Amino acid sequence: MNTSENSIEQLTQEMENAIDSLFTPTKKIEIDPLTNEIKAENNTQRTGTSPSASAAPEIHDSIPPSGLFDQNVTKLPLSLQNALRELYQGLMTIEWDMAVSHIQKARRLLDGLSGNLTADQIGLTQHVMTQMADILAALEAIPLNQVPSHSPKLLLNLFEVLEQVLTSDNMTPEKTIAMAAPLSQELNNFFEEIERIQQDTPFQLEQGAAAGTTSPGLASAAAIARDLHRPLPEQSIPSLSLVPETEPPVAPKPVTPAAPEAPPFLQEAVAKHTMQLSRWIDRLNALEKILAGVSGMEKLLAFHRQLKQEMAAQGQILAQAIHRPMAPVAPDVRTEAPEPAQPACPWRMLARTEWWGKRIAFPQEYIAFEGKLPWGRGKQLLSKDSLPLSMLKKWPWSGIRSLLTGSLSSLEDSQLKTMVMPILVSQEPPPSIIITEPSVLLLWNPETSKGCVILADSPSTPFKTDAWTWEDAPTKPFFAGILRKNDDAIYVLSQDIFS
Amino acid sequence: MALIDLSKKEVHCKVVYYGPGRCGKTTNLIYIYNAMSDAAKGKMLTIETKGDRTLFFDLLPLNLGKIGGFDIRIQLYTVPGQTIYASTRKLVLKGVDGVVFVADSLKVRKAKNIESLQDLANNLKEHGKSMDEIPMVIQYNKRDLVSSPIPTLSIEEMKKDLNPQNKWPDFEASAVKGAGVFETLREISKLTVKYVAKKHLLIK
Repeated sequence: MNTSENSIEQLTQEMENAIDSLFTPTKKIEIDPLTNEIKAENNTQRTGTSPSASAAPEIHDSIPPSGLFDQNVTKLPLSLQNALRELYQGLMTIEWDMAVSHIQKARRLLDGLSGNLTADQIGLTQHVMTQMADILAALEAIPLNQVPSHSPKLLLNLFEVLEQVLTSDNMTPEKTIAMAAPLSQELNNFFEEIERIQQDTPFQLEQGAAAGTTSPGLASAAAIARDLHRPLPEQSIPSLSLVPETEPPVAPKPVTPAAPEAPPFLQEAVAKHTMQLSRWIDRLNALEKILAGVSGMEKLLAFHRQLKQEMAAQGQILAQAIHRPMAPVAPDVRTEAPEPAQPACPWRMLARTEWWGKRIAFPQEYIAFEGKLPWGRGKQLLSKDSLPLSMLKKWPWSGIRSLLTGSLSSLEDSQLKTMVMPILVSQEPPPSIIITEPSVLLLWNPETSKGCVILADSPSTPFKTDAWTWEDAPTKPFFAGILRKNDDAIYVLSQDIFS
Repeated sequence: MALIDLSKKEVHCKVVYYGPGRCGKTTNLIYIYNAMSDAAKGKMLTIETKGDRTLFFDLLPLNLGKIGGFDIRIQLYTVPGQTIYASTRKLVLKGVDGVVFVADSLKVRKAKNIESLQDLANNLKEHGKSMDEIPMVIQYNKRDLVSSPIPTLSIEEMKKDLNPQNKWPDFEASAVKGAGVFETLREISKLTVKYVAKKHLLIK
């Protein structure tokens, strides 16, 4: 061994000593495998000879926000931060490499993100998230070599809006729509291009849809609305005025009939039960995240998703049942409730959506169908005043009944295919709302056997009315009342919409 | 290749944590970052390089200080599980001086481990290197799951799949709890600096 080799040996020996000395833990920690959050942190006696360490900052503080990832995000709950971060990375991955697996993953991450949002946040972000979901569905539906080159950028721009909505104070759905407005032209171009691509390759797409390899949103990808401003239908049946009238009309009756409410103890029990159901659903969400990342667990994942959906449906049934007419209760059991200082909302749970630039709500049990119409038929509805139920069918040979829920689904297909439902339209001027293909909401009143259709700007979401104050709406026909919280207002539809 | 600036007497060694998606590569780095003394570590970064495309990887610089007049730095790299794709894996391996192959103990990941090791061999080959040449350590991660109901691989099975000839030092680990994390780091660091010193400094 020559001198040079000796010096190298000496150098490496010194390096090894330094490594033994420096590369040792100064404390014992534990990392949450799901979120990479530092769960436990206990200082332990340092065994090495290097200088004592101060408490290391958590990793989330020290990863600099990169690009679009906004530092304001750190004020959100950690689970939401992580979901956003994952989605962001998923979208960047698409930008790096446009592959079906990455698109599918981004769709899953988008779904996962919605699981981390509160009901209010869902309401605020729905517009943007729906657009992102539509874009991803469209990308999955077309051949990869024909994907519009600007689509990854468009997704990232929408992500930026989403992030701003979640981190900004005093947001409203209207503000969200306004924030996304600058992207309208780009979105328009994108969907035009998708439509053109799909027209060129219809066979492939139909095959994909028929084989069940695509999502429900996929089938409608070709028809995602290009028109950013929904045109006003020429005829308005029935007419729905949102402006106060000069003469105060008679207050409309609420959608549900006046009926004795469930006894308080029962309401309390159901409320506790639904709360517990909601906690279990949250836990299933966490489990889903794990299962989604493990190959070979697809069946288990599907089972958990089904379970979660059933639990959510059960929760809704309970919440609705508690407000339905109850069997007469013995007078001695009932206690006289004190007169409430403020009128309470007659429903604890309602479904809400955006329509004509306004937020509206209605009891969920009236929803007989909700979704987008197949093959771009939703766009056709924008200029119509009624919806034949046969338009709900995807294929000529498929039935209508299986698409419906509630009492309407008890009717025979032969009856259903002859039924036509009026589309609600407002007499107000069209709002400057950018919409994609409308979400079709078919409401059905089993008591009057009448129904109507709302072409909503977004899918409906259930929400609790506890935190909202109720105000009767005597000057607004078709509305039973207005729910208010801070500056927000939700107009609750009355039974008159079925007349 | 290690970055060696003889005028500044600086040596930067590049160690890449490699392995199948979600095996715990980033968790290793996060554990090291959070449990290690501030004296030896730099800031952990998620690097995003913008060009025609975007590339993500985690980078954790570790500093050994001045040894023999040289300022020795070890840079730990990994690609987050969320962005595993071939191009990135290949790019991150450019100029690599040492590799930690993190294997997943979950039974369902058996094939992915083997596939990833093969992928590593192929990518190194494209950079004109081989697994026989550069220092490598194998880490059998997620051993904490062995006691759980989740089906896991035995060490013997993993060795048979990934290190049948015992070519490389290997460690059992649980990156979320820290077990085996620093043992792996120390071993790869020693092997790498030795490799770099012999290969480059000796020539110089």
